[in-house]
Amino acid sequence: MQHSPAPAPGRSGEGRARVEGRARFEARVREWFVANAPRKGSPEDFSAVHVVSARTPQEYHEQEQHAITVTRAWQRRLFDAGLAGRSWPTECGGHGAPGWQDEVVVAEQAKWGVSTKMFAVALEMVPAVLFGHGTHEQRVAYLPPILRGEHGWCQLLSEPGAGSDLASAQTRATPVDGGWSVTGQKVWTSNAGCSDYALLIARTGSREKGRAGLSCFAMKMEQPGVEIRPLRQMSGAYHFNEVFLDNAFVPENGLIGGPREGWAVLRTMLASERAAIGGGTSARSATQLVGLARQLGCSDDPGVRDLLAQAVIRERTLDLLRARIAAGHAVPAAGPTTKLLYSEHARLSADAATTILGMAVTLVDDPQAAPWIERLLFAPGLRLGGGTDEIQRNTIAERGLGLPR
Amino acid sequence: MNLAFTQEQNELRRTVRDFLDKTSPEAEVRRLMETVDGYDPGIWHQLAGELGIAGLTLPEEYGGAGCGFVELGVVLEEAGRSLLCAPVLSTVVLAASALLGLGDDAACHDYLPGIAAGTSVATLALTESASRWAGADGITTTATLDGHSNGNGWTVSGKKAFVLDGHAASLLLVVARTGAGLSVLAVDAGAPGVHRVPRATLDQTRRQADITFTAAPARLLGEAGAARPVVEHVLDLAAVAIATEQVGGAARVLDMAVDHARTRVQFGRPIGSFQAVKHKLADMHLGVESARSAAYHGLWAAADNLPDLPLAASLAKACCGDAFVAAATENIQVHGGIGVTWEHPAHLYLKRAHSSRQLFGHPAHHRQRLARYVLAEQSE
Repeated sequence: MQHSPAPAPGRSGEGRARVEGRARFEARVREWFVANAPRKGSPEDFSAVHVVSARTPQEYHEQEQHAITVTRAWQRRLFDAGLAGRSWPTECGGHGAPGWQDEVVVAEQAKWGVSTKMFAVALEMVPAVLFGHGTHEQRVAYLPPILRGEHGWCQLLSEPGAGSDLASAQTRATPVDGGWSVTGQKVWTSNAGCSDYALLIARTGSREKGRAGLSCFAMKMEQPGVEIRPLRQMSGAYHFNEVFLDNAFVPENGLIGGPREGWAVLRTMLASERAAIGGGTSARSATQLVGLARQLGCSDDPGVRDLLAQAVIRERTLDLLRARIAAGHAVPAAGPTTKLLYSEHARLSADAATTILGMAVTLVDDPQAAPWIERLLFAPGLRLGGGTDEIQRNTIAERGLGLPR
Repeated sequence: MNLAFTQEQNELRRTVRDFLDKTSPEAEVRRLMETVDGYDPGIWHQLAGELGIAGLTLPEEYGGAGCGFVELGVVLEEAGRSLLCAPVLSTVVLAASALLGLGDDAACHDYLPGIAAGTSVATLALTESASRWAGADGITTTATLDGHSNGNGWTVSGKKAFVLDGHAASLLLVVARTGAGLSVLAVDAGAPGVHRVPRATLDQTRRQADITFTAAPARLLGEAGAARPVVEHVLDLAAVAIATEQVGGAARVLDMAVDHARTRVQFGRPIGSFQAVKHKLADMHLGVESARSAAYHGLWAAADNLPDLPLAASLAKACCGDAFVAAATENIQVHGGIGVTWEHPAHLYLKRAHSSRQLFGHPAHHRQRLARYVLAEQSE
C-alpha cells in the first residue's frame, strides 16, 4: 500500500540515495525476520494458516479462530518491531515512510513461514477506503488497532440478488437515533465470524437510484443484529459465509464518505481488492506441476513437457508483469489485468494437473491427486471473487483501452 | 533486475519513434517491400549514422555507442511497431553479435566499423534445408583449409537456406563444420563460388535467400571448432531480439483494433461498445502485456549477460511469438471485411507475425527447451 509518492525511479542523485536507503532498510528487515520469523517448512510455519477449508461448520469455526489468533499475534510483533504500516501517517499508527518500505516488508514476509493474509481486508482495503474517502477522525480511530493486530476486518458487499451488479444491492440502512439501522442479507464473506469490523455497502436512497443510492459504512460485527452462517462450497469445504443483518446498528460516525457516495467508495475498495488478488504472491503451481510430473515419472513425455512449459510461462510472465507494475511501468488497467491472468493461471494449471494425474484424479482419497482436486474445485471461485473474469474484461476494455460503455 | 527504463532509454524510444514515423510510414513500407533489395540503403545509412542504431551495442573502438541490449531492445520494439524494412536483425543482432562473440580482434576491426556506419550489411548463414528449426545442430556445410595457402586459405562448401537479407548482404558469416568442430567463417558475398537465390517471402518486409557455397574462399573467425557456444549465445540474443520486435508489432495491432472498435459504427453504436468485441480486445491486451514482460526480462538478461539467458530467451520467444500471431489474427477479425483486403495494413502484421514466429525456433520448440531447463533447475 503506497500512500506517499516515492521518487520516480532512475532520477540521478535522488534515485541513487533511494537505492542506498532501500538496501539498508532491506538489510534491517531481513535481519529482524531471521531473528523472529519461523522458516518456511519448519514446524512453526503458519504461512498457510489463512487457507481455511474445513469439512464441518464446527471445524471451520475452530480453524478460523486459530488462524486469526496466530495472525493477530504476528501482526502485533510486526507492530512492536516498527515494521507495520511503514508508509501510513504517524497519527494512524504508522511511520510516514515512503511506500516502498511496505513493499520491502511484504516481500521479505513472503519468504518466511508467516502470513498476514487473515488481515488482508484490514491492511489493504480499509486504508485504501479511508485515505480515499474517510475523515481524519475515522482514520485515527480505525487504523491504529489494525496495525496493532487488534481489529480484523471483513467485507459485506455481495447479496443473493447483487453479484456482478452490486449497484442493485438491497440491504437498507435507515437513519435512527445516533446512527443507522441496517437490515438485509450479504453473502460470500470471508472471515465473517472472526472479524471485528466490516466494510458494508447498504442502500440509503431508493432502489430506482441504483448506485447513487448506496452508502458505505464501518460496522461492528459483534452485535445482536448480525447472524453468520457458514456456506458449504462445491469442494465440500467451508470458507465463506452468509451474513444476515436484522436491525444491526452503525453509529453516525461509521458512515464513510458522504451519504450516497457508496459507489465511489466501492470502486476504491474493489480496485484495491483486485490489485491484492492479482498482486499477491501466486501459488507456485508451475513449480508444483513440475514436481508432480517428476513424481509420476512422466516428465520426459513431450506433451507433459509442453503443459509444464505453458504453466511456467504463465507464472513467470505474471511475476514479471507485477515487477514492471511495481517499477512504475504504465500498464493500462493493471489491477484487472493481473487479477485475470492470475485466475487464468489457476484454472489452466489445475486442468494441466488433471492431464498429468490421469485416472488418479477420479479419486479424492489418492494422496497425490487430493491437493490438485482441491485446486480444481477452488479455481472456479477465483474466476468470480473480486469481480468475475467478464467484469474484469469489461474494466480493461473501458478503463484501460478507452472503449465506450 | 528492475525492468525499469532510464530517462535516456525513454528518450531514445521517443527519438526512434519520431524518426520511424517520418521515415517508415505504411506507404514507405509498401514501397520498399516491392523493391528488389527490400530496404533503402539511404535510410539505413541515416538510421545507422544519425541515430546510431547499427552501432548501438558495439564498443566505441569499432565506431559504436557502447550501449547495452536494453537500448537495442527499445529500437527493435519500435522497428516492430512500424514494420521497418531494414537489416537490423541480420546485421546488428546476428552478424555484429557473432563477430563480437568470436573474439577475433582483427576481424572486428575489419568489419564492425562498416556495420556501425551503416555502409555494410552483414548476416549469419546458419540454417540449412531442413525446415524444422535445429539451432546450431545439423550443420552439414563444411570448411576446409587448403594446405597450400599460408594460414587463412579456407574454403566453404554447402547449402544454406532462410538466410535473412542474404540477397543484400555484402558480408556472409557462415556456420560450418571443420575437423575441429563448429566454426564461423567470413565470406565475401561477391566471391567466386557464392550463388545466391532470393526467395519470395510470406513477409515481404523481411527478405531471405538460399545461398550455395562451392569451395568459396573464406576467412576463419576466431579459433577453428570453438564457435558452438558463440552461435548458441547469438541465437539466444536473436530470440530475445525478435521477441521484442514481436511485442512492438502486437502492441501496434492492438492499438489499430482499439481505434477501429471505437470509431466503426454498426447497429447504431461503436462496435467497441459490444461485449464480444470488448472481451476480444481485453484478451489481446493480456497477451501484449504478458509478452512485453517476458521480452523485457529477456532484454535485461541479455544486457547483464545473466547465466539464465537461455531460459529467458526461450520464455520470451515462446510467449511473444504466440501473442503476436493471436493479436494479428484478432485484429483482422475486429476490422471485418476491410481487414482482409490488400489495401489495409492488417495483413502485413499477420504475415510478419507468422514469419517471425518461425524464426529462431517456434514457440513449441522453445517450450520443450524451457521445460528441460526448469526440470534441470528443480532437480538440483
